[in-house]
Amino acid sequence: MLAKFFHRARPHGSKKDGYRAVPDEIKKQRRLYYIVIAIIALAFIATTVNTSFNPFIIFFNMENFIAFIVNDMIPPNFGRAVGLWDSLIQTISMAFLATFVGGIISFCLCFLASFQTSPSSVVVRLVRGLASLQRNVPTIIWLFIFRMTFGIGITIGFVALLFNTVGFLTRMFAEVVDEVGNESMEALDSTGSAYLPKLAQCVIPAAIPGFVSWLLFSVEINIRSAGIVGAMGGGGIGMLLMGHLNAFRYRTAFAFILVLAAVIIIIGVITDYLRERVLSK
Amino acid sequence: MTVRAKTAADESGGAAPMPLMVKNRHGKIRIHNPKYTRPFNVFLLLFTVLSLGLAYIIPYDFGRLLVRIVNIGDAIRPLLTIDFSEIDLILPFFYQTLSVAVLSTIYSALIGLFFAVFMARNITPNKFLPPILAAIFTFIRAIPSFVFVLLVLVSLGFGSAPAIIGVTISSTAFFARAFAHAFEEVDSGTLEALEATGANRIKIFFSAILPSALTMVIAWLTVNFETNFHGATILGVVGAGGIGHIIAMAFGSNRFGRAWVAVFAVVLFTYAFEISTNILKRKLKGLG
Repeated sequence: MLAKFFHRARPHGSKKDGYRAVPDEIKKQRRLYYIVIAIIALAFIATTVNTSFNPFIIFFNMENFIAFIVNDMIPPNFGRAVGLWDSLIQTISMAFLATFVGGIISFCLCFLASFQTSPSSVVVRLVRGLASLQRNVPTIIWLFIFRMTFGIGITIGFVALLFNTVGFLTRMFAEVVDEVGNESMEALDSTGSAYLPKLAQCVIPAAIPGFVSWLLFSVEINIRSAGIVGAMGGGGIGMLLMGHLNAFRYRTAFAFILVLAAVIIIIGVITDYLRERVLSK
Repeated sequence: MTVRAKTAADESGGAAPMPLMVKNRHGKIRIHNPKYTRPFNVFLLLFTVLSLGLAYIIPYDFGRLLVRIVNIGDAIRPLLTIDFSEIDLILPFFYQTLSVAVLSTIYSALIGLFFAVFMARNITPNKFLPPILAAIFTFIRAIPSFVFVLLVLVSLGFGSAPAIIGVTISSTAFFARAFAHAFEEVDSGTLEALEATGANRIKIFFSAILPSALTMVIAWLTVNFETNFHGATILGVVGAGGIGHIIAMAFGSNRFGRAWVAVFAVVLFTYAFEISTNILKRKLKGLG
């Protein structure tokens, strides 16, 4: 069907007439799509061979799986979910504090990472490189490194979240500053304004909506990863959930899953709503 | 200074434009429009109070953290080793994680594409389907993928299959929503024109909607592949094999040299992937 799309709209006429049926640009684009599709197909074959994964295994095991859910997971057992609400607040706090502290650090770093406001392009590359490293190393690896040096608990979960948050927010804040800085910075330059007043009076007020929008986005990401980080030893609701899953107490675990999902959904809805309000301003 | 006042007035709705020069109580020109800035100030204040208030009632142990940071040299010294001797053991595990990420992305993209057709409000066959599907997928998306993997593990046993299926479930939810959004952004005029020529739904989908959403689809594929790859590295830690297993084992048994090689493999791959997708995006943008 896709091939059909690529060959549609080819007008009648032959190359002999000097009539090019398909412009070169579209040809190039098609070739690029073909290459992408070929790479995906190759990767699919290679990885299927490697794992010998058969998707139809799901249908063979469907009964098993449904029986497991109906017999062992439903209904959720809230009575035995000790520490549910305490750990929930820990997880929420972890996410908020990581976003808050990460936001402050990124707020300071983003002016160094933006081409508009940075003192030199070397600093831009340096800060962006560091941010990229913090972003691209999975949170879980940061967690392991910190666990080796600092031990287990919510403090470590917070630090691991903080690292990824700083990497993410510095990059996004810098892009916001890049967007707002250009013309008004020039106007202030012509008045002979100094560096810090320029930031305080022109860049920051114009960038605040962008900053707030990314901050909200970061809260949503962090509340999601706080659950995962917790399960790997970062404390909070994830850690208890993991414990119950490993001990085969699925009904208790289900209670934890429901509460965690509910909180993530509620925070997602609130941040989405606020983001829309901010962006429509 | 007036430049700023102008923009603020323009963006505050424009119903009652602010005069260009308003003096404040110190006799200086006012450059902020309080109507415009107040919501942000209120939000930032609330956010600060909420974060610090929650932090106050939770027993964070920053004292110990500070002590450890002071002695960070002792803690880090054993970490500073690297050991490439077991790389032939590590690479198959890395390949397994990569396979989980690739296969789950491909399968979930296909399933997500299928559901997105019913979820996009402009092409759905039944107007009750989008909200129901959206609710289901929002719920699935809110559950971390390792939970699904552990649940599938119970009925399927160990191996790559539960990892692939578990990650596929949570990433299908992501794809369905993303693709549905991409489909909804297709120009409604195009659809009407095609309907007027008597094309049926399936034809419209394959000749108008999918092609115009293709760039978005590829963008979401790359984004979600990264998420799935990170998700797949985590799975090893919970006992579903892969590179995460090596990392967890090596860190757990203090063989840090080995762990670093595995970490490097993950980071190197993530970087290489990011760079190549950036090149691809630039090329597609340049041509499109």
